[in-house]
Amino acid sequence: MVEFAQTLVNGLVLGALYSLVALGLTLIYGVMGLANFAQGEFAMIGGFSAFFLVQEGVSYPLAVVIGFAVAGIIGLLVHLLAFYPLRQSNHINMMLSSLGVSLFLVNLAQYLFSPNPQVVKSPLSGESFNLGGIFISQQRVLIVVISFILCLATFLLLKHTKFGRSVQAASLDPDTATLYGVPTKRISFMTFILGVALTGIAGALLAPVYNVYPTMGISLTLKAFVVVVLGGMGNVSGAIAGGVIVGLIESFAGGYISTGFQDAIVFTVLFVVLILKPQGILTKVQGEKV
Amino acid sequence: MNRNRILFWTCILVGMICILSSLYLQNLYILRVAVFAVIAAMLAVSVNLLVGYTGQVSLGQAGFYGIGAYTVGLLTTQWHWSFWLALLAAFILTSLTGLILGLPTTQLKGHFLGIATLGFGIIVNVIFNNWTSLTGGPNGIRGIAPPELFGISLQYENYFLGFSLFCLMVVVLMVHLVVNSAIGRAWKCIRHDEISAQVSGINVYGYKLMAFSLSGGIAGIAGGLYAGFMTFISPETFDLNQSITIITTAILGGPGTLFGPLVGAGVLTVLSESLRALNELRLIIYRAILVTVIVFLPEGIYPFISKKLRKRGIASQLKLKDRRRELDEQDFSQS
Amino acid sequence: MNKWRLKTVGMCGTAILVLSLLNACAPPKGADQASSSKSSGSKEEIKIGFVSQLSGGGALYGKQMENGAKLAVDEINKKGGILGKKIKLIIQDDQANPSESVKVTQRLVTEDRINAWIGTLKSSDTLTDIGITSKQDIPSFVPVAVANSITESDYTNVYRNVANNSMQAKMFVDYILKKQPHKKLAIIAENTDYGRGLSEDFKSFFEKGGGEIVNVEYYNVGQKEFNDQLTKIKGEKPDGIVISGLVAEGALVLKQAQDLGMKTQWYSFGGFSGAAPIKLAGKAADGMIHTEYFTPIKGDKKIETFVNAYKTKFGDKPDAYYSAATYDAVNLYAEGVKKAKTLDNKKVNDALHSISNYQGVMGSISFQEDGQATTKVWMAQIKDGAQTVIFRPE
Repeated sequence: MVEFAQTLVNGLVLGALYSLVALGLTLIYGVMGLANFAQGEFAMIGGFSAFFLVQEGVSYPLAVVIGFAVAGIIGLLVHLLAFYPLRQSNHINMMLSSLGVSLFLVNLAQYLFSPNPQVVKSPLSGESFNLGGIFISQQRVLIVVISFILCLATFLLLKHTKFGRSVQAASLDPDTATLYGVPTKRISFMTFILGVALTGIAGALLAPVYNVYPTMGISLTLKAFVVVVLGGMGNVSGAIAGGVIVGLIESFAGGYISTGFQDAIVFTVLFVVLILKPQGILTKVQGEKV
Repeated sequence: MNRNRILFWTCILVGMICILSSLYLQNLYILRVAVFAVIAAMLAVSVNLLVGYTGQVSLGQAGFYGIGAYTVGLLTTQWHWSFWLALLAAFILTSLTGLILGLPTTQLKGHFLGIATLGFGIIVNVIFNNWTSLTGGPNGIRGIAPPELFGISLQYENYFLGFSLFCLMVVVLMVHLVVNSAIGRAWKCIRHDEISAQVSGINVYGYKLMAFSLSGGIAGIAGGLYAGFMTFISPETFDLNQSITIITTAILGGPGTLFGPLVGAGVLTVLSESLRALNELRLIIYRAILVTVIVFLPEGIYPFISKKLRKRGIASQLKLKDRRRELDEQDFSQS
Repeated sequence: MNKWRLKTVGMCGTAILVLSLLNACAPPKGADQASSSKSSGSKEEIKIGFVSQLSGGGALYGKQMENGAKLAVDEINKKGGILGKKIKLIIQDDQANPSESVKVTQRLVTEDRINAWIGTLKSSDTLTDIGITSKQDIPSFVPVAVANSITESDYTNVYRNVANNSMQAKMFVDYILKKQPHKKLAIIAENTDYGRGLSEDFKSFFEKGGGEIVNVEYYNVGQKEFNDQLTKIKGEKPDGIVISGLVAEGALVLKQAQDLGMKTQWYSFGGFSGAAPIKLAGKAADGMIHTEYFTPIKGDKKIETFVNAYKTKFGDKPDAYYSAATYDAVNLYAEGVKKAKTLDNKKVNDALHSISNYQGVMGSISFQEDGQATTKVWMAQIKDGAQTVIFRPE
C-alpha cells in the first residue's frame, strides 16, 4: 500500500515537473508553429546560470530568477539567428534548425563548462517530508508549487491581458491577426523569449534534484514533447493535464511493469492517444482549413 | 525527351565508373569512411521518399535501419541464413514494419507525425536494449559473417564499397522509376495539397502507406549493409541521434530531388572528417555550419548548386529537368 | 529488333569489360590478419593514438582519460622521450558510437600510422577497434573498458592494465560475504554492457557464495529519475544495494534514495568511486563501500607525485581510475619500447608480455598471456566526506 502511494506521489510530482518544461514548449508551438527541439537546452542554460550564481554566493531564489533572464536573453539570440530568418520557410526546416541549435548548445556548453555534472545547492536539498512512510523531497514540493503558480500565471496572462489576447489571436490565425493590427512578428518574438525563459526557470529549479550537465536537456525535451502532444499543442491547461498523465504512466509503468521498458510504454500510450485523438486529449477536433 | 535519356544513361555510366574505380581504392581509412557515407546516403534516400517526395516527416528512420540490421544480424548468426537471404528478409520485414507503422500514423499531420515516428524510433531502441534474450541487449550481436559474392569475400573494404555503391545505385534507380511513375505523381500531389489530392480521387491513404513501406524497406537494406560491414551491431547505433542525422542529411542535400540526399551525405561526410583536426571545437563548428546551411539554404545544397550552374549556363543538359521542376514549382505556388 | 540486338551486344560487352576489370583489383594492403607487422610511423617521433568519448554524456570520463594520457606523454617528453624520440599523442573523439570509433581508429592506423593505440571508454567499441589494430599488430592498451571478452579474443597485441569485470566482482563478493553482514542485496545497474556485465557477474558469484539477490533494476545512461527503481527496491527491503553504474547516474541514485528516506548499506564498483560521489552526492554517499582500482591516498610516493602533477596541470584532483589507468598505459608502452629498444610492433609486443611487476600508480602490473594484467582491486569506504581504504590486497 505504501509502495502504491509512493508510486502515485512520485508520478504526480514528476508530472508537475514535466508540465513546467512543457509549458514553454506549448506556448512557442501555439504561436510560432515551431516544434522546438532546443527547449531542453534552455533548461540546461537556466541550470548552469543557477550553478555559477550560487557558486558566486548569490542566494538560490535570486539565482532562479536570474536563470529566467539568462535563458530569455540567449533565447532572443537564438531566435534572431536560427528561427527568424526561417519564418517564411516550412515547418520541417524550422524543426531541423531547432535540432541543430540543440546539438550546438550542448557541444558549446561542454566546451565552455566541461562535461562534468555540477551540484547546485538549494536551501531545501537533502530534506524530505515524511507522510506516514511516503517521502517527498522538499525541493520537489517547491517545484510542484512553482510549476502550478507559473502555469496559472501563464493561463491568466493569456486570458486577461492585451498581450495574451494578441498571442491567442496570432496562434489562431496569424494572417487575420495581422490584418486586425496585431504585431504578430513582435508577438512571436516575445512568446519565444517567454517560452524559453520559463524553461530556464524549470532548469534552475531542477538543478538541485538532477544536477547540471551539458546533456541534461535532451531527455527533458522528449518528455516535454510527449506531454505537449498528449495535452494538445499550444494548450496551457493541456500541458498540466499532459504532464500529470505522463508522470503517472511513467511511474506506474516503472513500478509495476518494467523499468527497462518505461520509455517504450510512455511512447506506446502516446501512439494510442495520437491515433484516437490526434489533436490531443483536451483540444476539440477542428476541421482543417482548405 | 531524348536529352533526358542521354542524361539518364550518363548517370548510369558515371555510377558504374564509380563502382569500378572504388574497387581500386587502397586506403583503408578512406574506404571505411566511404562505405559509411554510402550507407548514410542510402538512409537519406529512404527518408527523402517521405520528407521530400510525400511531405511526411520521419524522426524514427533509425528504427527501420536498426530492424534491418538486427534482422540480418540475428538470421545470419542464430539461424545461419545466408547473408543474401537475410538481406532480402530485412527488406521485406522493414517494408512490412513501415506499412504497419503507416497504418495508424499516416492520418497524422506535420509535427504530430514527427513525434509519432520519433516515438517509434525510441520504442524500437528500447526493445533492442532490453529484449536481451533475443537481441543481446546493450552487448549487441557480434561475429556477423561478412557476405560473399560469387566466391569473393566482401570482408575486404574495397569490395564491400563496390557492392554497397551498387546497392545504392539500384536503390536510386528504383526511386527514380517510382518517382517518375503514377505513384510519384500522386505523391507530389499529396505533398502539395493533401485535401485537393483527395478530392481529385487520389487514394491518399494508400499512396502514403506505399511511401512509408518503401522508405522503411530501403532503410532496412542500409541496416543490412551496416551489419554486414561492421560485423557487429549494438543498440546505440540506432538511436534518436541517428534518426536526426538521417533527416538532416536529406534536408541539407535537397529534399524532393533524386541526387540531393547523395550530395548531402557526401558533403556531411567530408565536412565531418575534415574537421577532425579541430579536436574539441570540432562538433561545435560542425553544428554551427549545419544550422547556418539550414538557415541560409533552406531548399538544400543540391538545388542551390544546380540553380547556380544553370545561371552560368554550364549545365545546359540539366535544363530540361530543371524546367520541369520549375513548372512544378509554379504549380505549387499557384495552388 | 535491331535495336534490341544492339542493346544485348552492348550489355554483354559492358559485362565482359566489368568482369575483366573486377579480376584485376585486389584487396587493400593491411586488410588481412596475417599482413606484415612492420614498424610503422616516422622516424622522428613515436605516435600514440588515443580514442575515447570526448563529447556527449560520457565525455566526463573520456576527458579524464585524455588528461591522464597527456600528463604521461608530457612527463616522458620532458625527460627526453624514449630511445631519443618524442612521443606525439593523437587524440580522437569517437562519440561512443561504434561506427565513429571504427572510423577514427582506422584513421589513426592508416593515416597517422600510429605506433600504439589506447582506448576506449566502452567495451563494445574497444572490441571492434582492437580488431583493426590487431591486423597491424599495433600494441593496444585498454585502460578503462572492463568487459571480460576484451582479453578473451585471442589477440596478441592487446593489454589491459585494469582488473576485468569478473575479477572485480569476484573480489567484491568475497569481501562482502566474509567481512560484511549483508546477505540479501539488490542491484541497480546501468543498462549498458558495462553495467549489465558487472551486475551479472556479481549476481552469479554472490548467489554461488550463499547470498541472495532480491532485485535487479536497470536504468538508462543519462536517466535522471530513479524514484521508480528505488521505490521498487525499497519494497523488497534488502540489506544493501549495489550500484553497478557510473558517476553521473550513481550520484543521483544516492541523492534520490536519501530523499526517499532509504537508509541502507550502499556498495558500488570502480566506475562509481573516488572523489566524484563525495562531490556530487554529498552526505548521501556517506558509508558507501566500493571497489577501487586507484585511490589518491597519501603515503605512497608514486601516487602522491602523480596526484600533485595532475593537480598542477589540470587544476583538479584525479577523481577516479580513468586518468590513472590511462597514465599507466602510456608509461607501460614506454617501458615496453625501452625494453625492446626498437619500435617494431612485434618486438614491442614481446617485450610487453615479458613485463613483470611494473610499478604504476595503480599498483604492480604484470601481463598474462592474454594481455590481462594481474592487478588487484582495493576496497574503500566513504567516511565523513573522505575516502578511506578499508582493504588493500598484498
